[in-house]
Amino acid sequence: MRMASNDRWTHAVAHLLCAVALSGCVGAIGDDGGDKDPNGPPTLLPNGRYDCSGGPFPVASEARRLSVVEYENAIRDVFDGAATASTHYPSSYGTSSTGYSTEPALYVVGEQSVHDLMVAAEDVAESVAGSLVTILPCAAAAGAAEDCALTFIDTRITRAYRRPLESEEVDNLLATYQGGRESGASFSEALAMVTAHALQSPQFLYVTEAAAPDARPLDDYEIASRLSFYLWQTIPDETLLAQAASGALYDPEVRRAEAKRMLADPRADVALRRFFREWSGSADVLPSNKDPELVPGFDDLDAQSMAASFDRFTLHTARNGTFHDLLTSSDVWVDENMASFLGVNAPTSEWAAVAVPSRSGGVLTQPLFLASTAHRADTSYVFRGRFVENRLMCRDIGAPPPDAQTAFEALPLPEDPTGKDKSATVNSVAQCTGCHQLLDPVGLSFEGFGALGEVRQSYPSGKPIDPSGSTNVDGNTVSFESYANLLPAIAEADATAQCFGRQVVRFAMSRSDSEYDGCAAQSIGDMVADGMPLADAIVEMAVSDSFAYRLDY
Amino acid sequence: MSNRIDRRRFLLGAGGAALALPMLEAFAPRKSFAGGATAPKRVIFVQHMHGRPLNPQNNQDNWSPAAAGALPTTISPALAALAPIRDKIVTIDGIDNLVRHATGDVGGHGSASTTSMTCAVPIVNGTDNESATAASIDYEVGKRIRASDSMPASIVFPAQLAGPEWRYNGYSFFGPNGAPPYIANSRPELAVEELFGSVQDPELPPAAPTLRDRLIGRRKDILSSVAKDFSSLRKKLNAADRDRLDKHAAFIEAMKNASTGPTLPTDGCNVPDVTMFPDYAEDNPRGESDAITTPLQIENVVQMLACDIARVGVLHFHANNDPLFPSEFPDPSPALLNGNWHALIHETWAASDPNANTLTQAFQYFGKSFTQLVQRLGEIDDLDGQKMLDNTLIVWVSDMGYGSGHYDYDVPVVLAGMPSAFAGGQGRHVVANRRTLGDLYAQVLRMVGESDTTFGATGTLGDIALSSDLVAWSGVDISASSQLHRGAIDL
Repeated sequence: MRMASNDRWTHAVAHLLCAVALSGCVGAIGDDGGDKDPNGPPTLLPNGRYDCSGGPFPVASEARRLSVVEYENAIRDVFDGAATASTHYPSSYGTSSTGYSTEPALYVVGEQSVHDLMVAAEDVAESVAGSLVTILPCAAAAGAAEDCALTFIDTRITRAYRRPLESEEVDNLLATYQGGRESGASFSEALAMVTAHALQSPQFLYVTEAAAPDARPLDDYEIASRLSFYLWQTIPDETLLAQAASGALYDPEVRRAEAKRMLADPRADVALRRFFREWSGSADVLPSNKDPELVPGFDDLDAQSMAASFDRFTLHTARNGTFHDLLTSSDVWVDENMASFLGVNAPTSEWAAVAVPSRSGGVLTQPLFLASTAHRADTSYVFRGRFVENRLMCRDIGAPPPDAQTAFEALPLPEDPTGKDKSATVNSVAQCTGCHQLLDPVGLSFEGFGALGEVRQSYPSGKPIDPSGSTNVDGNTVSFESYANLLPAIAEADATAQCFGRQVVRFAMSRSDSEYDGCAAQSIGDMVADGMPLADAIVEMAVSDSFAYRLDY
Repeated sequence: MSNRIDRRRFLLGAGGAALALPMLEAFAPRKSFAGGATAPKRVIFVQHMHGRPLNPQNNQDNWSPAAAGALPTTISPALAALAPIRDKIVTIDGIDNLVRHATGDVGGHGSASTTSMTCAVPIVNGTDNESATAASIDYEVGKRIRASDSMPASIVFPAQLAGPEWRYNGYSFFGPNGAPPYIANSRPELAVEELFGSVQDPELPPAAPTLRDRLIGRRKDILSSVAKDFSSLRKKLNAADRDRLDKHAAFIEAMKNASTGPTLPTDGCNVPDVTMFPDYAEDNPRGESDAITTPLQIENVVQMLACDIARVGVLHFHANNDPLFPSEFPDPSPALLNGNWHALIHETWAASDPNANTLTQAFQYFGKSFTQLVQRLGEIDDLDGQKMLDNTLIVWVSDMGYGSGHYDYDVPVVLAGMPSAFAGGQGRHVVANRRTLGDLYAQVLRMVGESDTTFGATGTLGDIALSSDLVAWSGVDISASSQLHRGAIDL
């Protein structure tokens, strides 16, 4: 039986009292021990940590249109694979501010995209009509009529909307069916019209949650949607919907169990793949985008293998490894093509993980990452350094000055400049030093890998590579000979762990994180710092208050 | 002439009428009028990326004709390919993108893209990460001169193939409030399919309505029902989410209520035969396929206008990094610095630079394409007995001025067509006394019969500047008091 919202708040108060009794009263600095403001963020303590006693800490989310992948998966799952998604569904438009591709602003509609949504809905409607008996067995009966149409609405459209329909919504869909029949459409044609209607409605197209001017618990269907789009990039399955119907998803341990189930399912691959690709900025490499002199013979098959290798590494580590593994493992997944690229023996099976001692930087020494953070023929220590600074350590290096490009082009460089030559030149300009002092040493530590991620011993000019340097990690100066002794220090740093927590929040919530997300991010970061399995840290997001409470701020 | 089915018409015939007849009526071809009828005005915007070659110091600009007045036979080294249409064009110097200057970013491409066709201050999200806040000029012109509000205001054609790894999103061109523009497919055969649909032989009896026909026939009612769903859901949301849904619902409402008006295709309306298109590599490694697809897209733009599917089109040379300009460099050996247009134009400053000739040769690709477009329009008879070129204004601009320094002054501008709109005649070079793109686009609106005196942001540079650091331009006086509109251009 579903828990009423007032029962849910009673439960929340009990939860709070229990937490206080177990942990002792921490309170917030500067307060008199009074009740926490339910609409306020967690208190940031002088030591930089959040006081997460006295929760829950609700967070905001914005309505957003389904991404292309979410749309395709949703169509597949609404109709159990019996209908085909349309290629007319409008894709994203613009650039993400967090790096994660489900941000609401990327899916704003315009004149053309609204038309494309209509055409896409009609495409799927035709597909549904073509498989109607499979999708709706009662349609096979001669004289199938309104009661069968209601079954379609009650089963398929409920799935599409991710919750039970309200009577007004049912009436509206039924009116579409009736209008179609009155116009002369057959039963299947009229249901196609219902499909076209439903797939243009915001209940399908948008992930929305009811307003929360004051903090409130989400309802179970809202929680189910958050879970399924976070971990599967699709609509909730029947198991999750059943949990929602029973009111069980409010319990964090039920959410934990569901999240574990979902993470273990192959359907989580698409979300995990997207997270690691977008977090690291790693995109498929096209041989035509790289200088053929880098690795002669590198072709489309090699590029496909490189992409698959990266995904296998990240997915395997996400499910079976730790955050430390993610940054310091020497494993690379190889097939015959990747084995040839790396100069190792080909595996006996199609794919296998091999230890490559010259690549002990986990995801940062995967060839795809290195190739993605490079130019056509030359490396980019700025791109590589920026990933470490911004995505790994959340130091958020700002934008360059307005005339940076012009200023750089005017700088005198030595002949055949090395990476350190370029860095020294840039750092001689006062307005550039602030950022490049941080970016450059870290990025240069990877200079031993070329623009295609290949190992290199020297620059094309023959000049030697010097990947040594020093940087600040958690307030300490770390000197290093290369990435190989820099990354372990970064992996051990609490700042890195906490940054990863923030990245998970951004990915899960499709927005930048704020102080309100502090406790969710901190709990994930603490698990990562403690060496817990990465899978548990990913699940922790679903367990947090962020997944069960909401506040509009 | 075969029937043409416009599959991109939003709604058909009398709403809610019986299925078969209204649809067929809407699909029936419109007869072209005999000579003496009024032809619609049309505009094509052409934009290439990264401005004019070289730099202005020491008279190294090889784009500008030598002096104001009648164009010399060869025009200029960069514009040599336009020689065959010399008497039909006006080249313009002295046009600046002041609004881009207001962003404080003279080096970034994002600010150039989001201001060069909108003249509106963008939202700056980060380096090279701006969001446009207004429609681009093509959309605005199209709204004014289209046949009805069911006709797309403007359709943007990527002139170069966008391979699977390169998602073309319009870059400089935007719908209302910076929304995505209406984009044709960069693959010419798919653009034909999407815009012109399938052809119906008028000698055959009309086919029985298909499910798709029925769905199209019920669009208005379905959209009304969808609107109810928006209305129902929005009540539960917070203000920001309501606003998002309301904007979506507004587009649906406009689509639902759009009336279908008569269109005026010319006798030259001729759906391109995609079976005759040559094969090309779809992933377009290094731009090799553009030699095939660019001319096809040019024809698609022309036919879009000839068939009156829209009255404003864009031909956008969007490729930043890859094009080898195979029409200019058939030898596949690397002829371009770093093998890409971006590096070539930004890193070649002086006429004495070893890549200067390569840069000028590469620029001919744009000039030849522009010439082909103008000449093609000059071949097609229009409804009033003239040629389409006589009723079509073509505006060629770029997102930057001098590409070498990413400068935003002296944006290269070439106008062609619609000679009646040029009081000073064509075949000449105009040196505008520091006019802005806002001035130019307002004048374009007046050239098609509107009365606008401004376009985009108004007031002074100081009124809109996002940064107090207004970087000085060498030889150009710019300050916070600089007016964003300075007056008409001598056309």
